[in-house]
Amino acid sequence: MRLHRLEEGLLAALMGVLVLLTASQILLRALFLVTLPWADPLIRHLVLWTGFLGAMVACRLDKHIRIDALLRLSPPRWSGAMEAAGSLFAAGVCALLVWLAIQFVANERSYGTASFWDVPTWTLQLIFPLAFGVMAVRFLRRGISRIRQLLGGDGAS
Amino acid sequence: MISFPVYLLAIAGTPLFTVIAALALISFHRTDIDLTVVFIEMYRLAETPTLTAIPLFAFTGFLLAESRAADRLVRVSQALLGWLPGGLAIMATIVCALFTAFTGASGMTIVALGGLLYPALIRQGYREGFSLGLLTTSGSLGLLFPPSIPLIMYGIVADTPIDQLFVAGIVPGIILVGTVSLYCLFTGARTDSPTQHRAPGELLQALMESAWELLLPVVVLVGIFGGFIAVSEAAALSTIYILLVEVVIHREISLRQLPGIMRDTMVLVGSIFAILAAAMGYTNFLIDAEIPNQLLEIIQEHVSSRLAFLILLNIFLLAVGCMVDMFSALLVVVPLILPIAQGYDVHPIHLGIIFLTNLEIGYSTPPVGLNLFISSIRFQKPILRLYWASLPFLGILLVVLLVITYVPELSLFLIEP
Repeated sequence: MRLHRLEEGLLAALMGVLVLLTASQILLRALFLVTLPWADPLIRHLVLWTGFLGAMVACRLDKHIRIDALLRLSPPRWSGAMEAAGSLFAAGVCALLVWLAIQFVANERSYGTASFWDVPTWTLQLIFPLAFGVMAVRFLRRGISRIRQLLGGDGAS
Repeated sequence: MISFPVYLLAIAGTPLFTVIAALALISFHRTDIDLTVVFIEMYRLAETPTLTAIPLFAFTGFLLAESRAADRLVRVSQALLGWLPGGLAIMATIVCALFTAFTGASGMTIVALGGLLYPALIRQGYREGFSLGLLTTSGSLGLLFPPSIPLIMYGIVADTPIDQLFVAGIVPGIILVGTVSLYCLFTGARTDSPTQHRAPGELLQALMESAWELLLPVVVLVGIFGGFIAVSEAAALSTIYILLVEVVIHREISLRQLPGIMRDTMVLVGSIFAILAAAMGYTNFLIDAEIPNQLLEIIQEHVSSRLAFLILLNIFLLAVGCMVDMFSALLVVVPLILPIAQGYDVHPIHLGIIFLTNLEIGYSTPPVGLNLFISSIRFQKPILRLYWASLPFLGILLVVLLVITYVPELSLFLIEP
């Protein structure tokens, strides 16, 4: 529950900065012919972070894009089984991606590159292991609760 | 084929971004490429400036949907077209198209406008089937108008200038809306639904009421085509502008609602990003493996003329559109098709317009077009009823698709002097 608040709070805050920063860039350039060199990379990373935070929330709310026609047309037992299999598969893929993301970030750290304001690039990439990690856990929990429902136990949704 | 079970999972409703990521990982593994390369590709998302436009335009669309902008827009159009036979239906078409241009075909048009327009159409004596079909297909009409998110996505994936795509879509978009409007006109004349008298006072009042929102397309278009600002900056301006209009001037959205609207926006954008991120690696693999070129050679053996290729392309895209969500199709299929289409001398921008018109139609094509399901929930009608209701409209859209496909000048004459 606390994580929900945290991710949504962070999402709204970053989104707010994104809107204000992009707009002030235009104003500064139009009125004072000034461009802030750090603003562009910062904006692009804000887009990356808000995008992946959004993907985390989409996972929680079960809003990820999928082909759901067969699910809708199948009897509940079948669709439950398909959802269980799909969620566990998704959890597995996300877990593998976390493992790869950690390696990727570790590599970047060893190169020691820096982005705007001398922020080390690898810290900006931490969103990858974070987002896929949270999604892996969420898919796993959904998969388990679907299996519980199938086994007749009234698993909480 | 290891990939085969993965395709089965995709059809069984597994989140598509994980399916695409799995396919990418399998392909890289087979060719002994280090798997962390998927993140090198994903991190390129942070090096794509135009990407900023997607969350910002989406946020603008969600703000508009949350306010009463739609009601005001309907009132203006009613005052403008109420006197014409079929006026209400034509107005519904145009308003839905404009709304979709700003909200993307996320089903928000049907949700935001359906509740208002459906009872109004029924009250004026339009048949239920006609009204349902109109509102269902209109939910994606307007994808060709700037600043629609699928257009921006095509620009990013195909590496084509987005401002040129915006220009190219205008004429084909008007033809689509115009043809559906003609059908509305004939239907209106046949059912002789009551028309309203012209009331200049009402028009003026309605115009005043929605003047702020009506200025938005002007700001965006003049900004981009006047060469003053980039597409992503136009997106930022429109967000700030609509925030001011709805929060400060109309006071229809409170500051407390903003985090929730941002969340809803980013859930949509996040689900698109997840697929985009997964597809970045996959498509690069396909191109490195020269798969499009191999496909081109195979196709060129059997298909010699450009016309035959375009017919084949449309059939293929419609089939894809019936089965797969079109955002994913856009990301996975465009990189494959683009080199092949160039082999047949199809302009990348024309290809984009063909692709998006197919996308529009795919949204309402049985059995799995997204709009059909959204309408089924929104209007509480069985899905089969909506299949039948949307058929006449699909027929019309298909004819227009043929015209747009075989007359490239419609898309290109504005950008190629």
